Amino acid sequence: MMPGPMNELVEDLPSILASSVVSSSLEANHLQIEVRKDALAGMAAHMIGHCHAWLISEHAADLRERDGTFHIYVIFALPKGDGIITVMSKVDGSDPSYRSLTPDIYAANWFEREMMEGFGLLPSGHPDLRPLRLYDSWPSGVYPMRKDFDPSVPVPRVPTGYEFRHVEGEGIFEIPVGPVHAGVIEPGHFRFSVAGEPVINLEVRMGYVHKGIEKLSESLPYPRGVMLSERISGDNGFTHSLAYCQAIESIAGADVPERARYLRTAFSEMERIYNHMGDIGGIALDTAFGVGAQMAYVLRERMLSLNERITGSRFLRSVNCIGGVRKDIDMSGKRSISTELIGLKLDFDDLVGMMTEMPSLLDRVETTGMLSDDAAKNLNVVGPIARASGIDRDTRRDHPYAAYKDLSFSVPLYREGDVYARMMVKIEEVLESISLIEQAMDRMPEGQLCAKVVDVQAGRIGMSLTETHRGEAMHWVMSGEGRPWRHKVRDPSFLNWPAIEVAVMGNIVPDFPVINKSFNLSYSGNDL
Amino acid sequence: MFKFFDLGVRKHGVVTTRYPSEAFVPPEGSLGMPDVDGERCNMCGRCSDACPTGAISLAGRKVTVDLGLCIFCGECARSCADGGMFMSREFELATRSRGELEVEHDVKG
Amino acid sequence: MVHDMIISSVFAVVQALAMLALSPLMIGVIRKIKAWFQGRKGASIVQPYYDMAKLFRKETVVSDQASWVFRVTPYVAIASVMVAALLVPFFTIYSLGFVGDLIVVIYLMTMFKFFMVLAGLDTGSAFGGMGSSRELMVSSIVEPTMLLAIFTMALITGTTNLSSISETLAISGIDLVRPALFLATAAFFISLLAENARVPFDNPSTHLELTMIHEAMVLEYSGRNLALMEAASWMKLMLYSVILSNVFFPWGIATDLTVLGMIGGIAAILVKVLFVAIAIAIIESGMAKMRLFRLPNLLTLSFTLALLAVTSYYIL
Repeated sequence: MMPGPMNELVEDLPSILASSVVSSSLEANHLQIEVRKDALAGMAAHMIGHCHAWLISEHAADLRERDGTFHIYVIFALPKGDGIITVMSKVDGSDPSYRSLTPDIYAANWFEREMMEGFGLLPSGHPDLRPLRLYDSWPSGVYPMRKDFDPSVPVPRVPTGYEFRHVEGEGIFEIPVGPVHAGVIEPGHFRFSVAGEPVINLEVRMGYVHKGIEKLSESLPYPRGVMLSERISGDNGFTHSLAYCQAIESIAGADVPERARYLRTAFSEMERIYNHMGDIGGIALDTAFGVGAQMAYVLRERMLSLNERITGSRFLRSVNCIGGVRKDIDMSGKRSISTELIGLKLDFDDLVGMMTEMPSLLDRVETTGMLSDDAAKNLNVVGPIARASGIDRDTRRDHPYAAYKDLSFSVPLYREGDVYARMMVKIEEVLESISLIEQAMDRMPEGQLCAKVVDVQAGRIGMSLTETHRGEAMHWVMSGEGRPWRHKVRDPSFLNWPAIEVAVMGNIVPDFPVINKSFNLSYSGNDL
Repeated sequence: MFKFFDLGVRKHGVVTTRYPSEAFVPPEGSLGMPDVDGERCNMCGRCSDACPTGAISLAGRKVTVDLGLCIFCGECARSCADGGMFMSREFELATRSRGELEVEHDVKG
Repeated sequence: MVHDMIISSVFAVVQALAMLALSPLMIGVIRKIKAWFQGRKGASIVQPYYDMAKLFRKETVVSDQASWVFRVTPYVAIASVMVAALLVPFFTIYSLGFVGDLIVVIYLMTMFKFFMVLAGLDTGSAFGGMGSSRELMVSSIVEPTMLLAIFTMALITGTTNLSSISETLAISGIDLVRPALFLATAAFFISLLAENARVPFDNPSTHLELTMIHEAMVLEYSGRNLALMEAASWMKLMLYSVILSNVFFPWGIATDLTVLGMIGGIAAILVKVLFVAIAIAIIESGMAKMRLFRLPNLLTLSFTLALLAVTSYYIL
């Protein structure tokens, strides 16, 4: 389902847009279109409205050293088939502004704020230009992602303010929660406006663990970049580093050995299982069902111990490398995994049976935190959250990578969009993952573990999408001399955080922790 | 009604151990503290170059590993051709002062 | 007469101190049983004593928005539970019950709750205020329930003096046992769970400040103040368990001054309190916490049981 319709796409453009196309090229299933700056918003709206594409990312790169412009990349995925469309525009360095995509595509909101903060590219018509991560004492006019920003020079601290959305009315009061929470969890600030118990408005403010990963990546040679990508969001380190490796491999044209592909698939699914166990345990814990929570955590610990026995690292660190993997699964490893998964499945079935038949727990999770399928579509949510709200997308099936196209699995889909639906999607994904690992173990051919990759040409672009347990992660790399010129990381949480603000409306305050736990988003992956 | 008991502690019993009075040994191959085999190290310095955080330094006949900088990636062990640097399974590495995290190893070989 | 009063006073003080000394142990036992259900070894049953000792050594920090109410509440708390303990029979029927009857006991508990609610509001933090409002929502139905349940016992035995209720019921064997007793016990047990912040009303071991009811009011306390508030809460659980045991099922309590009677009384009350602890632990392990606005449903159920208890006394 590739070149045909993609080719027609360019021909089918309405004349206003067609006349603004500067160039277009189609390589495998990736269509790249360059348009003039003034048509960027129109082209993006056409993609969403007419082609029903999904927004993957909107980001910029500072190429003023090359041609005096910033490049803005807007990346879409077609709903059917494995098609990716990149729409690019050049913005002149002397006039860093462009028409905002947000009025037509709500999901572009945070991306444009991120570009404003990092590069100083002003999206005109954007409804909310508050800083996204650098709101606390960061001076205005200093844009850290630009190439002329020197990270070794300390930035002066300037007191700044941040306006939260206010709700006025009788009996409405504000509850600020965080960033210091009453448990050992990541920091984030939640500003509730409540009328007694029901939540009228929630505003999420992240950025407390902003580490400057994208800037740091520009100074690290590719093998070190793999290590960095493992640590963007600790619990999906393997799948993030897989995306980075695949992006570099596509630039270098490397041919990853078959065995490595299967191993990568198996490890990725092992990561998915232990994370979902933690999530299910978390929902039990937040509804005060201690026994269920402990059972889930024991299963998670068994998976982590299995990871350690197979790879030496509980969180599958130091396994990926550019060109393949470093750790193999030998015969005894396969036996170990098999035995463990069989035991896990039986105990997991017990746990699920207990939790889905417990009236007090079901009462807490059904109809709580509903995210309607309309809201989910407009916000472009990804991952189990999307699949619980009727959006049938899974990167493993829609844009296959590693060994997924040779394996068979089904993608669970629920429509209700409440905590129960999200929990059920995760439960079913665990069962699918167990089956995927068994298939991968069976079909894995003999062979090398890692292809030798020495030459990564400069000036080329590579992108990879992978399905972490939270949803679709994207790594986009524009290569420089031995290290990235620009490395854009888009963790699935970046798209999903705005959805919490919508899901919480109308629920009562004590239900917020359960809703937050059912989303289980990464603060670190969002803040980069 | 009593599923939480039947499927819980009745089926599996108590699963936690009395750590630290009962010791815990990580499995073979676990990425613990980088350790130096003084007999086999020849002070070539490959480990120090491979380390992404600069945690390894060589001076005289000593190799110092700064556990405060170490990210336990295993690159040092991978780059060592002679078996001088290897990843041990030590994980109980807490100390009471920053200085104690810099572990010195004497090299004889 | 004076002789009786002196004996009662001495025993009252001994019993109150014994209850205070044993209440952390009861908490330790509940936590240990819950841990066992979860497949964990759990902390030792004397851990709450170590926790209390540790808290007394810690620094006290008070918000600058707080008024005298905040500072005074820990002392009001411990004082009110200790005074109530003097009025409740523990292993003997002797107590200062002739000074204050069951209404005084209930309202001493209410005074503790009242001050705690005010203290939650006093610091101006949002969580304290939410905890206070939820606590009052729960207690608006729990208080009449408790009063009705204990009134049933008062009706059955003809007196409102807790010691006399115990004594009358214990001495009479099974003559005074009627259905009203069991209905009242059920209603009082549900009230016990509600008043002491146990599952399904509240999760005593949660870290989620948005879901807390009791814990939220105590969130701002630290050091010695927190130690006193915790001790008062544990003592309150012990008091309610003792009232449940000795007012509704007093058989075994020591009714005279013989040594054998004393030993029997101590054994009886320890067994009964242990039984209550096991029941609480089983309920906490087997159920999830209910949604906040469903709590009135459960509370109304217990109120209905109490009402039925009183009416069944007259009808049956």
